[in-house]
Amino acid sequence: MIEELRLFVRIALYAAPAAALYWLLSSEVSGTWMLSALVVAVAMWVVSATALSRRRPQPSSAARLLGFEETETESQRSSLELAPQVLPGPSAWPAAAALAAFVTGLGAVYGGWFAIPGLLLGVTCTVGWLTQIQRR
Amino acid sequence: MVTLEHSVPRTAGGLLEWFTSVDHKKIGILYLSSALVFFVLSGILALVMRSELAQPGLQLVDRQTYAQLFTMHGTGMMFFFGTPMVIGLANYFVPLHIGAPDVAFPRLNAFAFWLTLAGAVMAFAGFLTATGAAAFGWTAYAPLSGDAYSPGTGADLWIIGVALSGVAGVLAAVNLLATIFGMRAPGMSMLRMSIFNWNIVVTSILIAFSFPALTVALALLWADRNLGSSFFEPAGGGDPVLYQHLFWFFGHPEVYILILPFFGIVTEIIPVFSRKPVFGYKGFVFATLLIGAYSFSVWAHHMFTTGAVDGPFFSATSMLIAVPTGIKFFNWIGTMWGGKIHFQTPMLFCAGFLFMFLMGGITGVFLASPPLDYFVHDTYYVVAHLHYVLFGGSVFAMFAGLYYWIPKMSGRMLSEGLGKLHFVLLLVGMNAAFFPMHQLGIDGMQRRIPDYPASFGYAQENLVSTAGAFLIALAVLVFFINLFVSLRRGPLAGDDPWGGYTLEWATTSPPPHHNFHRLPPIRSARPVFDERRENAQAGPEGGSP
Amino acid sequence: MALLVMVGASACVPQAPSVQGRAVNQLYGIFAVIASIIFVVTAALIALSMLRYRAKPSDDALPAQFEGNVKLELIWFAIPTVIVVVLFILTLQKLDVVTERAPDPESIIEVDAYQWGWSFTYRGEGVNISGGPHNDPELVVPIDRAVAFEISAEDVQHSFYLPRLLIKRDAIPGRTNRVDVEIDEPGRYIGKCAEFCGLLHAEMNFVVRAVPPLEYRAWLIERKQDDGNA
Repeated sequence: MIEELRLFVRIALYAAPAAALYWLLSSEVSGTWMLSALVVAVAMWVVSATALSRRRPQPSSAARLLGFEETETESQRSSLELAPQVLPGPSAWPAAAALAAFVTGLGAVYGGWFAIPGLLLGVTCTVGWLTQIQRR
Repeated sequence: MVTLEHSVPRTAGGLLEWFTSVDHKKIGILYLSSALVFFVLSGILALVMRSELAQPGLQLVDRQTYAQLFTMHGTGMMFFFGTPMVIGLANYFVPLHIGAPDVAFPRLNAFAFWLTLAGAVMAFAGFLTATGAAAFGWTAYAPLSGDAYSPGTGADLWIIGVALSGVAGVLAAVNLLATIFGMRAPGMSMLRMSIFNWNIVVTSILIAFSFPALTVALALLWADRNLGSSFFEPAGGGDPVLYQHLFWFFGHPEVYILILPFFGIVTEIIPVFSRKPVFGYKGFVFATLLIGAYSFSVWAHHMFTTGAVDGPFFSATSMLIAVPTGIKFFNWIGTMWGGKIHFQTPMLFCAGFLFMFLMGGITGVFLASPPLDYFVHDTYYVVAHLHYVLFGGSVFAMFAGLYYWIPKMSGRMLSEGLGKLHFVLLLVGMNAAFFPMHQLGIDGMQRRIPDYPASFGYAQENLVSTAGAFLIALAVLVFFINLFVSLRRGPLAGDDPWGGYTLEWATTSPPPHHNFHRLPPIRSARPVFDERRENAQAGPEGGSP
Repeated sequence: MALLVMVGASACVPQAPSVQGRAVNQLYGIFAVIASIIFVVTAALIALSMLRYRAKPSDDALPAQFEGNVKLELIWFAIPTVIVVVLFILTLQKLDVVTERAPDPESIIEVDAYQWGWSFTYRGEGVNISGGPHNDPELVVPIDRAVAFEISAEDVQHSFYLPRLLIKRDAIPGRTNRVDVEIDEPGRYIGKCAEFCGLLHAEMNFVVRAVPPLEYRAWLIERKQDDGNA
């Protein structure tokens, strides 16, 4: 089992009994919900980490669940070679999208009028952002 | 060895480049610059408060202004200085530490920064409204933060601004996690990552799981104010304590979000300047994970005095945090022990960090005990504690990190002389400003008051504290002078001015757009050190240059 | 020196004139001593390692590159754990003293906090004392008898804070917190609001005057007549 996956299992292993103990001691609803939500959220992470582990050939073993040992594969030991990576070019859409969120946010403060241009700008940004990714 | 020149994209050039860049290093610098701007702004607010408190009576500001000052000081430092500083440093150095060309989602990264800035501008824009900025403390306890008691638009701007930057924080955290999990260079296993990266892993998890609680609290608060709901209004069947549960479920992990990365920085710097490997790598990883886990189950130690929480449960979990923190302290000592310590400016700040954080950590154990918390909660004792932790701890480690890493980011060394002056002024100023607050708290001076009668006998300590605050301001001024002078005229840093261990020292200063022309083989947590030693051993024998 | 500072700090907590307050005094004293020892030992180790192992000029040889020692780490995992368990047990004992409710308190005083002032109602006695800034309410309690405060708030959250008695409990609208206090020295003790509650938060003071029980009964009767006449 790879370290990333163990990481989340450990948190779940802590949060579950903490939530149970908290409920038993205090019967307080909101905190119990939040601690339990932590367990569920961690389970979601476990799923994504499992997907990650499939990309790398790793022998997994339940006995290593809590350990800190990592198995080393041949590919990790070897070379300096970097696969060529294409980095994305500059883009104005992220900053524009943040401006859209800002204007929409003003709508939540001063009433709906600001939300209309904010949402319009937001849609424009989403379309622009996605088409830019498509084109590259 | 593969060169990557062909993949370098065009850049816009000039000022526009900063608005459109998706390079993690540029975005990192944007984060750091914006964080430092809000550090200075919030610091100026604190100076006005300290000036007001220097002697009994209201001299400088009225009560309403004072409430805005401490609200925006806390908000600015926590949300718009601390968190962005952490994310900015992580942005710049996580890809470098793991040998990656950029973060996993570069455009999302840019969006997260601009969203953080938008939130910060919105919250601070409250000062421009007719009724002023939010004035209910950075914790915004309901029902004081409801529309009946805080009617101004400054309050709504605060809610939306903080919420926006909170969402941005989650985006940045997810991005960092994806980067660390998916983009490590060949050979960089999780247990060969720098301790700084491990701290960022845990910090990102804390952000991803705790900020949603804040978003929920703010959304409900906004609904209470604007839609007439009453989640937190007792008159309508709501519960003010619910707000505190939601807020502190975020708020306590937030404290660790603001300290764990700085533990990481200190754990990077001490080994390099001691010329030794870190003592107990797995111990550090274990302690970091433990602190992360505990931090989710201690939130209500901020709420002991509400009488609505389980004292023993939260007392036990809070005190337990002292154990992993203790492991870290002794491992830091173990790292220095037997080494050859070079006291350049970054190491000096680490030394300051160790003593100051020790002080803050120890008073924290007092606050974890409900009977003692009933006594000192909401007094200046707590103010002293949190400033020893977050100023003596985080800010000292931040300056250590800046002196350590700015040569990498800019290619120029900062002045050692000015750095040492900065350190001494900051150390003296910080202790003068915050140590007397312990006594003020014990004597019963409560937080968030603009004034106190002369008969209470608080004047002397307050005067010392104010003097200390101005010393801190002077120290920060020295830092900025150092920055402006050294970035123009400082000596060139070269690739590796400190004899570093981690991969950022294997590339140029500043690094090229794609970060690395070549990577050294990664066979331990100190790839650059390994390669340097191999070269030194091969040098005399083989004679190859 | 740091030890002196910390022990000095514990001495700077004035001895509280109440049963509950002295429990806090004792606990603070124990915490301060243990904390001082931890601080001094750790700070000395840090200082020692820094002074002893600082690099000498022109000494470029690498020191021994050891990477840890599991046994040592286990030891300094165990030591803080033991200390923390001890502190926790002490905390539990004193928590019982501080939160204990007297079965039959001499008086039950309903505390109602509001923006900006306090209203104190002596339950079953028909006596009410209230006031705000520049008109601090002064309530009277008997010494050597347990008095119960039932604390709530009308509008926003406040906090009932008696600095000299080392106690504080939040006043939360919609909830009631009870704190029992047994004062044993006559005197005037200043009370404050500890939770930020708006504009006049700093001025929301009150006074608790502790008097012998007989004087207290006399005061109650006199006060009841005054209120009846008014």
